[in-house]
Amino acid sequence: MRVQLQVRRRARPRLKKIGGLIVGGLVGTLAPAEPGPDFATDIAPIIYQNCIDCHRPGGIGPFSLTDYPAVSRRARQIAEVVEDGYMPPWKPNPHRSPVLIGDRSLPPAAIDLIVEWAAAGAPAGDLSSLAPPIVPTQDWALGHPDLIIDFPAAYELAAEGHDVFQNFVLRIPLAERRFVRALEFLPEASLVIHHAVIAFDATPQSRQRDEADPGLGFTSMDRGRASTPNGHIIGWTPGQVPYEVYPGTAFELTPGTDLVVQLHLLPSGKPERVSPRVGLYFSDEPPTRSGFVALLREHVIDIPAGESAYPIREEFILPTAAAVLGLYPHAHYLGRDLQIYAEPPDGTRRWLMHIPDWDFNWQSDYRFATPLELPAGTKLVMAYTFDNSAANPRNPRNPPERVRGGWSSFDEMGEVAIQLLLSDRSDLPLLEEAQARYLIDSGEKSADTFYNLGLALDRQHRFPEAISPYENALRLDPTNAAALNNLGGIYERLNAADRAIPLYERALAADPALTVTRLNLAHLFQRDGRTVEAANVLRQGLALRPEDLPLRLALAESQIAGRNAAGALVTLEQGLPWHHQDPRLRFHLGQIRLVNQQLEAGLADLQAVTNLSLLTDGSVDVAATNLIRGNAYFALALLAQQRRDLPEVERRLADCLAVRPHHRDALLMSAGVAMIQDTPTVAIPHLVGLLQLPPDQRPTEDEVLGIMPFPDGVHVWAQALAATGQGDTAREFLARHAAEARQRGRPEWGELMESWLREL
Amino acid sequence: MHLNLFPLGGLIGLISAVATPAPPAGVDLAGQPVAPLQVSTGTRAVVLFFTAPDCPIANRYAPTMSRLAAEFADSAITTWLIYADDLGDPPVIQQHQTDFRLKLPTALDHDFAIADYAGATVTPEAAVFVFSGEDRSPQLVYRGRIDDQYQGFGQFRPAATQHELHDLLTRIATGEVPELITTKAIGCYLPRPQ
Repeated sequence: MRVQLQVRRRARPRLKKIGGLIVGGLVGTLAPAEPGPDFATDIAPIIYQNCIDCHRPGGIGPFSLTDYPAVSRRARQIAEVVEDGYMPPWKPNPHRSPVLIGDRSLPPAAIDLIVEWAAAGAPAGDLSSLAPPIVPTQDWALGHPDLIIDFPAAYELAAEGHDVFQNFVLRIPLAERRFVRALEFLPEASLVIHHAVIAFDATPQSRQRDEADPGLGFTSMDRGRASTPNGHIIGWTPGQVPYEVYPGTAFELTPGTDLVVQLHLLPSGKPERVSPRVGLYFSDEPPTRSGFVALLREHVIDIPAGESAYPIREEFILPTAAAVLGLYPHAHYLGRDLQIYAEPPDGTRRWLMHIPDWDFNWQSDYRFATPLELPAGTKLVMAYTFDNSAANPRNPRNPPERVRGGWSSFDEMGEVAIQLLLSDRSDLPLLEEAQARYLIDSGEKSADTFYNLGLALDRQHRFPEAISPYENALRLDPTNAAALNNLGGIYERLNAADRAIPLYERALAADPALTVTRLNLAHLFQRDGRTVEAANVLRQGLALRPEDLPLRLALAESQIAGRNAAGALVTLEQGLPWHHQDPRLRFHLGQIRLVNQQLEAGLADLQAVTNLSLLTDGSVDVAATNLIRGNAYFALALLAQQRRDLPEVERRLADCLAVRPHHRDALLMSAGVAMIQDTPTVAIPHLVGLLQLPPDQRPTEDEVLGIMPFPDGVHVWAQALAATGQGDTAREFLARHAAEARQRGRPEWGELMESWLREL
Repeated sequence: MHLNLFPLGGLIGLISAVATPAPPAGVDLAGQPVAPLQVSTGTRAVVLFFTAPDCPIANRYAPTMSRLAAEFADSAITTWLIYADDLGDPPVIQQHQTDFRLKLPTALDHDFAIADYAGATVTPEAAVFVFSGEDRSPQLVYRGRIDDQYQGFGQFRPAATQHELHDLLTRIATGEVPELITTKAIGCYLPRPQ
């Protein structure tokens, strides 16, 4: 964030001219006038702090302002553009928003100084006292990015013509999921890039639009399905500081997601090669907080020719408390006065932004230095006016003509995207619901909007309510695979498999690559005993995506359930080219090989699992790895037991408990082994461990005694019960077994147990 | 010179020379003197485009300047690019013309004499002279903007809706000698030394 400039304002006597005579000089009562501002003392600090980010060699400004000759030659120009607010480019009214990050506005005192200096002939002052400016480099401001995405080729912008909105769809080379904590855009010294919007598209839509449009990128102001995850609004305008996420709101990028860069380009008079770069900075921290973008948009715009103040107003009520992090107002050429504010339930007004002289060519997103907290029930208001008169110097038409709403820049638009930070992640579906209902109520009855409403209700587990919006979405877009899948999911939850199955089938017909739908459908078939159909659905999926492990494991499982061990073996073996290093495949393969009497190969698989790790996002998922390794160790212990290799059994059980201290069967078996080896003191901690498991996992008394030698097993179990604070249960247990022993004619055991009872 | 009695004809000649001083000259990119407003018979008009390598508004008009020059060349209208700048540097200007594909006669106006003669203050600004009378003296008929795309800094339409210069040249091409028209040009001030 830029430090606010402190301008030294001198107390300078104002000399009034009356009839050509200088009063001060005439009367002679004033102290000798202090000299006016000069470059070295007054002007250089302002220029160096506020202008040379862009106006430097290699910068995006058209000329450099890094020394006195360059600045003084343009003194008159500079004075004029700072006075009328054209430079530095900064449109918001500073008194009608929270403090904004990267505020480029000049304080009025600085403007006065520049104007005064230019009028006085731009004096140099003592240049020898002036340190040269620290000129920013063209490098990444946030340091070298973790991933740099370059354009595959430069985009050729024609020398002249209208401004262009060009969307570039760039592959992100990601092998695994990553979390993005910052993003930097380097325009690469291009004067023609006025504004960039950065978005991501996990769907193929942007690629398809790109392919349908000749040349690099596609031309549109509508970014379609491209958006930014977790409610971020990421843009770039000249001089804007790079985007860093609010702490805890890193956003997820999954492999296959495309970067979509929308550039607003203004021809420069010569053909330009545009090739900016985007740097991504990753974090190991998944997001802990949720963000959301509230979109307010006027859907009905119809501005008569000559109308100089056509108003629009939109309201969106926050269903939950939220904090505003930033916003992106948007209108086209006729936008004039843009006001965005919040009205909390207490009736006050909190300004979010006021742009009194909207300029389409200097549109930008804005971020607040600190989040603005708003309570639930706050009304977000967008109130804009449009000027379609001949007096509007930006009116594309002269004489003016009637203008209506639309996506072309010659149509009009009025919207604002407001970036919200939620206090609780569970608030997200409430906001999604409110947003979808707002859009539907204001006329945006599209398949996507109905789908979003269905999804928001679905996420709140309001399943019956979600049915109608999903059905509306499908009425408008019958092959919307996500809507078909989700509606199927709702019927499945409502125990109406007969309705769910055809919906899943339609979803797969629309998008055969949907693994989730395939798993859902196969699961329903399997549950109904339609094993062959389940296997077929999964097999078709694997034919399309042989690298899909969940599909492969599900198919093997379905084959095992159908008692087709040989088929499951083939299924799993065919996965080796992709998943040789994946412990999940190797574990199941090892087990199925054992079932198929391939003992050595199966043993080798299980041994391999104990050295393999499960990777998530490129790093070891310790919990999941330990889970599967524990299972492998236990399976190896069972195999050793079959071979009657007691030391190996002991070793493997110890390995298992080292990674999974609460593995129930390993605890049980370890206790049994200790008793066989006549080491009851070793058995007791295992039994204690079993007693400390959650109630539903605790073994029954019969289970425990079943693997223990009698009567010593009774003794150690009673000791374990006593050790876990269940003395009464232990005494009752011993008394009962003593009585039983006497009944069965074994008084010596009865005596023994009664002696243990006394010892307790 | 011999002692002379100031013949009447000479005096009249002197007065007329004061009234219409010789049009100013500049230098071309090779440093040779050039006088854009001293024309041979047959030239109907001369258009001067004041421009500068580092003025974004002037640069956006480069294609328009080239197109207007080409359109009216056959009507005996000659177009010049004038770089009025005491520091005007031929290699920089050469590069500018290469970048912006400007292939027009060029004058460097280091002492702002041409700019002063035309009354130009900013780039881009157009000045149009027609030539009449026996001495082919230049007569200013237009000075100002090329069209109305720019209304101020940061106040420009996506495209012009009025094309004042083009309209005027069309009239001249048909033989008309218009009255002087001046409009306000929007752009970068000529970099006059302080």
